[in-house]
Amino acid sequence: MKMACMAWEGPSLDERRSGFGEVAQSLTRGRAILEASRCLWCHDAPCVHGCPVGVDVPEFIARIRSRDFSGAARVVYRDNPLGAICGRVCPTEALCEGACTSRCLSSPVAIGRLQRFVCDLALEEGRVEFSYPRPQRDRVAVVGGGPAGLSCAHFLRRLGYQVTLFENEALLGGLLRWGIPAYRLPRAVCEQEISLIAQGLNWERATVSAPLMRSILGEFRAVFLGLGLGSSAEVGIPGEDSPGVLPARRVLRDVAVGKDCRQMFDGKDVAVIGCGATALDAARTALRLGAENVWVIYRRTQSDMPGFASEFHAAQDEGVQFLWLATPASITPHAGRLLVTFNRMRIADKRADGRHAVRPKGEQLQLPLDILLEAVGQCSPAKVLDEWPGLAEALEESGNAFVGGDLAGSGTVVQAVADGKEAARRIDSRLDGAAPMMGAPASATLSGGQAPTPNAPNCAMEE
Amino acid sequence: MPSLEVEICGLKSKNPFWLASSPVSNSAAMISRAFEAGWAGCVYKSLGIEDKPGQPAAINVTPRLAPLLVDGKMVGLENIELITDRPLSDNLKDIAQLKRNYPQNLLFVSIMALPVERDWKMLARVCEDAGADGLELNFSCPHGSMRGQRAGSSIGQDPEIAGEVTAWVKEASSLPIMVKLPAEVPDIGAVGRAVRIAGANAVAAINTVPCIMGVDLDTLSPIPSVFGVSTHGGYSGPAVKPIGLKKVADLSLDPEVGLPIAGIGGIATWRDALEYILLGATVVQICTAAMHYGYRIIAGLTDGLSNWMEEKGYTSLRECCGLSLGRLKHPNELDRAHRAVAKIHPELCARDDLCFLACQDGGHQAIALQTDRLPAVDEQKCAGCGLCAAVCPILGCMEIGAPGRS
Repeated sequence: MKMACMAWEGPSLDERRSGFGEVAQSLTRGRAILEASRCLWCHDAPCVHGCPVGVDVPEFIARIRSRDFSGAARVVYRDNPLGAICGRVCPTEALCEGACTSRCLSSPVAIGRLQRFVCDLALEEGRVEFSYPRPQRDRVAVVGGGPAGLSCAHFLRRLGYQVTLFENEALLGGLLRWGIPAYRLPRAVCEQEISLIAQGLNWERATVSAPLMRSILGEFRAVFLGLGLGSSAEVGIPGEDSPGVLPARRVLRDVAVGKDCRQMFDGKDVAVIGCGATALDAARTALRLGAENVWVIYRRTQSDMPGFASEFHAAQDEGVQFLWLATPASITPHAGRLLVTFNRMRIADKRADGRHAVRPKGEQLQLPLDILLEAVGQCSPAKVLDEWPGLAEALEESGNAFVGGDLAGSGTVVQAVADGKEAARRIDSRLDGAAPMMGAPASATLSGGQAPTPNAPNCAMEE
Repeated sequence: MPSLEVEICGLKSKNPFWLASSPVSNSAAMISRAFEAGWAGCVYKSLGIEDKPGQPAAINVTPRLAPLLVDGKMVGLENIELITDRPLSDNLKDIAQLKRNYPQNLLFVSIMALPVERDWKMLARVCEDAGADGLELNFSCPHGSMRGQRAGSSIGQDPEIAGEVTAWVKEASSLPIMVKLPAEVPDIGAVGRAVRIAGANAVAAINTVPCIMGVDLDTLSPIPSVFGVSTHGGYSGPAVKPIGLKKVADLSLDPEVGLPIAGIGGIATWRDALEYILLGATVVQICTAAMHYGYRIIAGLTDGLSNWMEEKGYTSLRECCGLSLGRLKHPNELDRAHRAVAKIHPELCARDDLCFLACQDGGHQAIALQTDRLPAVDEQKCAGCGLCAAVCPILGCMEIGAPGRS
């Protein structure tokens, strides 16, 4: 039998390494109430400001304290239709919990776990159902069925708009479904929240293309683009096309669709290039697939990694090894393996953004590997827009095109949800008694970032 | 959605939550914010007699509050604040303004004076003229009986005077009358009966409980210390709820009182409010929790109550009033033939073993520790007293019930 403290800490490292079971454990009611009682219920609470979607954290925690669990879930779902998902995948240490007042007194309240607890309970009891008014307002298109698009569609429908969502894949969810490993986000939870939003949602499978975009512009009063990012960026070194070198995202996707990748990784030496969320997920996934050694290799240092601290520590605990200040220079296939040469780097001066610039140190390092996974960012599908001249301008001119999610540079699920929500609000204020779509002023166009103009950078680097 | 609407004194209250006569109901500006937040009703802070017009009925001291802290959280609060320290004319203007702006919300006005007929009648008339929906007669303020004065709780502790004053007010005003009763009274039913006969339409219970919060161990002054000395005050907050529940149940169960009740005392959550309602309250009044966490608590109060009703299948709060009264019995009527025992849910146990200690030194030595610190109950020795469950920090970990469950 598991001890209660284990229920807080989760499964053992051996259990973690040997499967895709969820790492973070659910709170019991008693534990949740005890944890909730630590909340000070601050006025104008910093945690709410720390939450991109503005969940009323102290209010839902107060309801846990008064044992109104379904009321607590309702408070969360009011602002975030992906409450159980975000309660798991949010980098809370950088958001709500990072802002928590109790942080200064002892330790932050476990807001993410409490949110997950109430949402899970409500889902389990079948209490979550989104209700929408009859769609009587303008037709709005949402392109992309990931967290940003789902959120935008949800909030638009709540405002009474007739929404049509276009998605490339056969299933909705985007990165939630194809990008986040099950040990962080169990399939069932993901499935449940996506299907709640999908209930009654009018959506079509369609390949995003210039003709599609043009017909959307003609048919709909406004459009939200939440396309995510496209193919993985390449490092650009000799030998990159060798067998055994592949994008980290592809492995995550293969595992997500249920492909058996165990044979490919079992007993192998694996390195992941990059140290963002995808790199850390790929490294931990490789371990779970039986890899003997897993390195994460990053050209800067830990303090400058784009990955979140909690995920870094989890990876380290599980046995992922980190090699800092090294960047791959060449790959040579050798006796069925890969001989990878790395340039060692040294820290140069601090840049304006607070991170350090690195320069080659003049030393090299060679690692014999079986698999090299690349996780150095993705290409922007803004390229799609660039490929058809005039489309980006048409979007810009329409005045009613909005972007969000990864496409707008939002790096987290919760920020994507926030983008979708904010875009719904803007679309509403634009269409609410406003002029027709064509001919609207071209200025205040895009939420969350810039217009997808042909000049915009088309490669978002995760580094 | 279940209906939270209730009726009291012939008036509709959109939910059972009112602000009690207290610092939280001191002015129109404050009460307006509370009404905007969703509070259904309010009892305006007690008005009194001015020696000279414009000279407030009371001058307050500083400081006038002292908390009882448990683990850093306020669970009790003493106040030595008196009735309004604003001029009567200002308060009446505020009352008129509130009724103009919030005709749907209920506004009762608390009044308090020595047992002098013309004073009570004057206060009742000016409140009625200002547009109040009802009057609350403050027969319960623990400070009113200080220094031998016969106001406040000294009226509420004497059924005869309480009845007499109620009758004066009844003569002077056509407004509904709610009488607020003290906690410290041997037979609250006797006072309830007296005011009903005199024409009261409802009773409110309890006011704060006489107390001394503590002593400052450096200055040796009791607290709150007013420049080195203190006085006794009124105790409120979560810690007084059990006292309030008892008094409200006493009033509900007294067939000769027969008046609707506004339950007061330590209500901080919808659960507390519901307990008062189940023991016979029609509405509840809240002060300390609003002082602690602000008017915003109303959202959780109404939602929590409504969620509970929905879950239990009640459609109207009126159905819930007094539902637990039938289960309140004389000690002689309790089942002494059967025995319950403690049961541990090991999957929830945190291994603090407070239950073990408590059972050893305050119970019946029925809990033993296993090698992994997991407590185990010996059902033969267990007296089923419930101490282990009371000290367990984890809700639901220790349960008292029929023996032999596993």
